[in-house]
Amino acid sequence: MKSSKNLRFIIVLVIFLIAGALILLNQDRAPESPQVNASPVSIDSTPVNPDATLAETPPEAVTTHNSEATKNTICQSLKFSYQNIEDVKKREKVDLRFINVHKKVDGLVYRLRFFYKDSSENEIPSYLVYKENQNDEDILTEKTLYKKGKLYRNIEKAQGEIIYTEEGIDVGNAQDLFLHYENKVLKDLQGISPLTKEQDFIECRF
Amino acid sequence: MKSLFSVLILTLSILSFSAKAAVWEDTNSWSIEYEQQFSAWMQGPAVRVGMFNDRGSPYYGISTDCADTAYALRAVFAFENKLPFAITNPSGSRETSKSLNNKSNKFDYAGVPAKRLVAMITEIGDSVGTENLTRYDTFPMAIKSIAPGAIFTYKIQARFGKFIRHAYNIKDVNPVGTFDVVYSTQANHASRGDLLRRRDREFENLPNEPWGFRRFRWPEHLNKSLSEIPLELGASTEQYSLASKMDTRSFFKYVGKQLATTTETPEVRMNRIFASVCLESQARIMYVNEAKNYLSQSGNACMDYEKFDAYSTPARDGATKDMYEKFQYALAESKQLGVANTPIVAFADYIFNGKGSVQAELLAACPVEYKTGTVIDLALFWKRLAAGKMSSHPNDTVEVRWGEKTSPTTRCKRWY
Repeated sequence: MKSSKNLRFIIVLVIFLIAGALILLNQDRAPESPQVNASPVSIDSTPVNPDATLAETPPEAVTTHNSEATKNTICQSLKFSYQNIEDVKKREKVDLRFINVHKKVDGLVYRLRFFYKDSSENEIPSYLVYKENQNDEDILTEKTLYKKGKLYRNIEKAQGEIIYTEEGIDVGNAQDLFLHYENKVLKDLQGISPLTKEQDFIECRF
Repeated sequence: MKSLFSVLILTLSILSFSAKAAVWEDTNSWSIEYEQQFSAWMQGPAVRVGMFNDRGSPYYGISTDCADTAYALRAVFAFENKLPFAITNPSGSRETSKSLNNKSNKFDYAGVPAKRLVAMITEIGDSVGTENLTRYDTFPMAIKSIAPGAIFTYKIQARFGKFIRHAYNIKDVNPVGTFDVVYSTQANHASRGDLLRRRDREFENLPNEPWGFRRFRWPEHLNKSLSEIPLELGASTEQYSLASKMDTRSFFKYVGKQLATTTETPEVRMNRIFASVCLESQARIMYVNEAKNYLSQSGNACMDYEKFDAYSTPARDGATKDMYEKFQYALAESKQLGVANTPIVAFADYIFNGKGSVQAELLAACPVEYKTGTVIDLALFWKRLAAGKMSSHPNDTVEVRWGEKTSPTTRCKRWY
């Protein structure tokens, strides 16, 4: 009887010890706040102009944030709606903002990039071709504005294997939701959700 | 023979070592102190309009447009302070190539470290626009955190549904809460001009997520959500909440008040806006003349879409008009406040209401000589601009471009 009591005591003690060790271990593994390398000095957030405190701070000047839970719910609904880029392209007015295609042709990997440069009066379609070296580094080989260059067209047409794609598109009534896909998988989105009445900006990473 | 062999081996060793060099080695890490140093560096004499164009500059040869300038300035500071520099890889973040960074040895061909830096910045310039800068490599910041080194990016809808994007680098925040900015444009990049600077800029485009006041991400914060960026760096979306509830004038007035260290009197404000209106009005001479020079080389051929992009001025004329309207608004405000009739107030009254007899003084204060022997004052400039007489079509004659005549207009296509 006594030995059975001792045994129970030992078992409980061991359980406590294991639990304690697990808690300590988990503390070690818990996600750390990002390394800041920061001194305790933080960026001054007090108004530098004494008058500024008297400035008519509009009552609305309070940052409103979706709670984390609400945000996650919205992000998941958006992910559900926009996860398939091909469906999105068929269903909505899409503005392609950039595309990167990595294609293996004759044993060499080329990266085709399309994006927009900015000008004072317009946006300028830009086409780039990078060729990867032995270290998989992308060496910029051709750049053209407005029209695809010769190499770009050749690689686009060539038989080969597409090993990576990355696309950024704008959708929504005012083209204000930006979707970013890697290999057709939705990686992140930024903008105004057409799924909620609230017109707050949302940023989701998946 | 043996010693020659040794020299050969040594040379080859050195060559093979240098052939695998990073753009620069980073031995320091980003910190709040380095952010403060970046701010001080931006504010100081090192950041000047000729820093990429002066033959004596170690960074000679860098040529940037608007977004590239922001990247270039950040990279130069990181280089000088042995700090890491990384941006989301514009060509695609496949496997090992998640970022384009200072550790890359693909710029070895350029030679010494400063030249490798120039090569890296040049490639960044070819590969990115303001969308990369805004969406991937920077984060929005709290208004009170705005300091030298911050960036202001915007996107506006222009004619025919086209969008125009731009980025300004804040060199300094003026005592009255306006901005001293350095920047470049595509046209400036093409002509390999010095960086552009406006010492007293008030922005006219409301922040609209993700566009607005932003700060560079540290390499370790690339691809991280805003909530993962340390609070000390001032990440915040407050500007967007505010902007969604305020008009442009109120928003920037609020921002100015938050950042100002002195209170600006209405008289000083009038002087300041007059100087900006004068500067932008005179800047139009250069824009129109660029088109004129091109036409003289091309035998007055109709401009194609690309050339029209480069030499037409609809958005820039629109921005100049906005600036005049701001001046007009400041005049109305001054009158409401009972401001004394200073020379600048008199100029404004003459420009907008035709009152007074200060034409000669106004012409002397800000002459706009758009053609040899033809000088107009700001009142006539405004009269023509407000009436829609100034043509933004680059194929029009100088007289039609400046509204001196309204016909004959060009028959060349207006692309947008």
